[in-house]
Amino acid sequence: MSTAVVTGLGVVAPNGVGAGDYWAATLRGRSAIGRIDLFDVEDYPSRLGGVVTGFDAENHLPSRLLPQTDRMTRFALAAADWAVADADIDRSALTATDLGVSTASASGGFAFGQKELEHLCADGPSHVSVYQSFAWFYAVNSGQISIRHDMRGPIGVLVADQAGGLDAIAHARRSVRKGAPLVLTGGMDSALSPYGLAALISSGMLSTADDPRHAYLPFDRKANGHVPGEGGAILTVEDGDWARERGAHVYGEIAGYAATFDPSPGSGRPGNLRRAVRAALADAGVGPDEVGVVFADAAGDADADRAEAEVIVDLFGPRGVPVTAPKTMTGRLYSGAGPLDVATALLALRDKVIPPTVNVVADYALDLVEAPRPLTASVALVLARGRQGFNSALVVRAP
Amino acid sequence: MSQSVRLSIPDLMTILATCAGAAEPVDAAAEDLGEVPLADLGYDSLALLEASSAVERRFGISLPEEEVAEVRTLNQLGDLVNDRLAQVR
Amino acid sequence: MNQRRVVITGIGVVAPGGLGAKAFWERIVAGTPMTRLITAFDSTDFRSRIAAECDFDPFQYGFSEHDIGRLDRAALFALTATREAMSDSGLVVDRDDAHRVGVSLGTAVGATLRLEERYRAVSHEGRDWLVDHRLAGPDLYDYFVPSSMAAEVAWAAGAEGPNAVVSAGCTSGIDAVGHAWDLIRDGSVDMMIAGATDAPIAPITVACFDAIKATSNTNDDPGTAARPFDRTRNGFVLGEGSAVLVLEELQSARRRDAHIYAEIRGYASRGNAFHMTGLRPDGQEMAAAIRAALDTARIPATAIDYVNAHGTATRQNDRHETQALKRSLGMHAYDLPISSIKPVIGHSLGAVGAIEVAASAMAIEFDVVPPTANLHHPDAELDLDYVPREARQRKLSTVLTVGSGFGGFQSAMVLAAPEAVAA
Repeated sequence: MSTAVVTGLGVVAPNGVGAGDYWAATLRGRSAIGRIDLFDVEDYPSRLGGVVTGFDAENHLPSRLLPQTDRMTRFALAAADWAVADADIDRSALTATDLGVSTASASGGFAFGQKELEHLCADGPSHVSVYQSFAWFYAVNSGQISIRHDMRGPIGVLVADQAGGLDAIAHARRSVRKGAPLVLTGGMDSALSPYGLAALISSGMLSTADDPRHAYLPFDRKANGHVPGEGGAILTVEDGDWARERGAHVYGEIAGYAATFDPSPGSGRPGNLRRAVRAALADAGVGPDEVGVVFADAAGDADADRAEAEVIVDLFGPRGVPVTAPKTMTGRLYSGAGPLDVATALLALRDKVIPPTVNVVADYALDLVEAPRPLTASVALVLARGRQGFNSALVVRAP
Repeated sequence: MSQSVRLSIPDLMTILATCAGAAEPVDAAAEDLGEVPLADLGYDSLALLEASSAVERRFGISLPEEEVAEVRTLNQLGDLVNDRLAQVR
Repeated sequence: MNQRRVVITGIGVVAPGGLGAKAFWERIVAGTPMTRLITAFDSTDFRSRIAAECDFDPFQYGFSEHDIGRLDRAALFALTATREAMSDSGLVVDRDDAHRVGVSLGTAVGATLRLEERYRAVSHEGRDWLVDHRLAGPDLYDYFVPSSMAAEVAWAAGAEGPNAVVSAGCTSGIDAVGHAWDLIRDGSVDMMIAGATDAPIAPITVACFDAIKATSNTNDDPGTAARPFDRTRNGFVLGEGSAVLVLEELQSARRRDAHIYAEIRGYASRGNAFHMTGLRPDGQEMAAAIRAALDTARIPATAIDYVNAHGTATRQNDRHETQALKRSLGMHAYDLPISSIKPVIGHSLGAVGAIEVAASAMAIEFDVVPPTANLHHPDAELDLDYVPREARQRKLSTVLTVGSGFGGFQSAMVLAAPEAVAA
């Protein structure tokens, strides 16, 4: 079976716009969590967020795309451009029908949707924009990316709460295996708008702390929920043979993947994260001892943290593998989190350094990486979990 | 009786830019802009619908769908809108 | 490589005029349009005031007051269809096999009804941009992220394998079934609860289609509003509903002696990279999807006995789809029946693709081509056989169903009769 390799990274993250800036900030342990300043959050119980700064959509997108795009689509289009540029693709060697797109979104263009709901309710149906017919829906990023890059191959969109980003990368790998030489993939979300924040708060998952250093503390005894962030990553995934033939720079291989779902909450039965991790490692053909770092889901919720820590300890032994959660610097990015962690894992493998987790004093028997640490192994495991029981695990391997 | 409102080509360009973003630069003198196909300015059928809907709301007129669908240039859009504006005034 | 084969062993449908697969099938064969003036809300101020609605009483389907309170209509549809499909298939998921059963649920607009309803509450009918989160209620997050519906389906089915919502706009239904087919073929799972659901008949949805003039405004005669392939057609009519299928690896189905409706032989999706709402008139990407699906199926175009069309009743789609069929099937496109069931059940956005996969499987089961209702006036530019008004008895071994949607999504799926499976 052909391999699927990553050759280009496009990142929009709260602590860095562009893969280079993001990676430098992450290694420095620079957190972007702060009070949300996109609107007045005074009356909300959760006021902190990982807001993307330094992203000026006018500088990245043609003017005519602005009225028809939500913030998260602007992020996705810019990140797709950067991934394509990074991959240094020679389009003359490819036909449009070769090129696919698979993205994930958890909540679509939610701020755009709120604006049009306001037009509808306050002014009447004739005030609703023509662009409401697609700008808010979950499929919009795959559609807009495919149009912008003339990609007419296999196309897909997945939603699986905060695990969906990894599922989209797996979808891309499947398209590559079926014959597409190149697929743009990843996830992007931004719901830091008034109605979006209300929806996030209703989940009960958000921290209500006001001190950015004490708000999102996964695996910490003081864990009290998470901080929402915005952004994500778009990657170019290519057929390994094709990438080698064209002499592409390869960050690494999407070597293994698996997804499971937990039993219903009332069943009293254990979750299925362990099964997902085992199956992903088996899919990659690697044993636990070959894994050099785990990028944890790091929910910041005591029960979810304990469940994840138990799986890691069970499979790798007590303090048996370095574990990190750079998302402590960005907040949780929903569908963007998994792809950003995959990008981070690939950069870690490239530079042989594990990025840190900030602010956390680790409980459980985890070897949590609190300062950048050398990475000698060539395999990283990325975990992403969604509310209600979505579990995805993805294994990347250095070239 | 108020002077009837007439929308000029620059007026229409402003409305389109607000609704659908700035036009593509085209190689045409200002006085010829009205004859440049909207498609060459980068405006598709959705841009036209969004702009005509904005005009309808702003001036309280109704533009027949079938006629909007036939519009291909700024001059045609201007004629359609100004005809309606003249009728209501 | 010996590819694993995937069969349909259970069908559940919630559709306008057809609650339950059997009622649905009878309705589309009779070709009685279920389109009517919208009853879900006061549509006075809207351009298009028509929809195909389900007269669905969740209490009748055993949902508790609590569940009806917390679940969006689209989730209730999906759960109802899931129960029927599992019962039809005789499937009870054993705890030890739960990880070999996954869920793939399509939806285009998720919990739109509840998102709009809650928005009205938290914003005081659109007056406040800074909404009052205290009025949101505890379930808003579940409406905000539509994979909550796939979670509900998994819990109902006892499925603990891979689980996701597939949300590719109006091809979501085919794509969700196609995603499930992929996962069984590549060995990730042995069974999938696969289908799609949408309940989009809300003011915001109707208003956005009003804005782009995509929907029919034949408000004075709702029953004739959806007229695909008819030269008087003037847009689609919104619908709602769900179809869920039990998809199963062939050996698994045989081991438990399950009834096999059809085998899914091929599937493909393609982007048209053209326009978010527009279609290239030559239909080349839909044609590419069809050819790719046929290639995977290793079935020649000439073997197709019936095409279940997208047939939305927009001028653009009629032309696009006709060109795509000619481009992919060649002269055979002129020789086979093509029909759209949307005049009967409306266009339920992401759900309809799965409903049409169900219709295709049932067409194979009963050897009947459902008709295109409301087709009275042939269009000179459309010169294929669109099966006007009357169903046809015909031996159906291989059926193609296609879909097309905003974002440029084009999808195709090939189904074959179980006799061919046995061979």
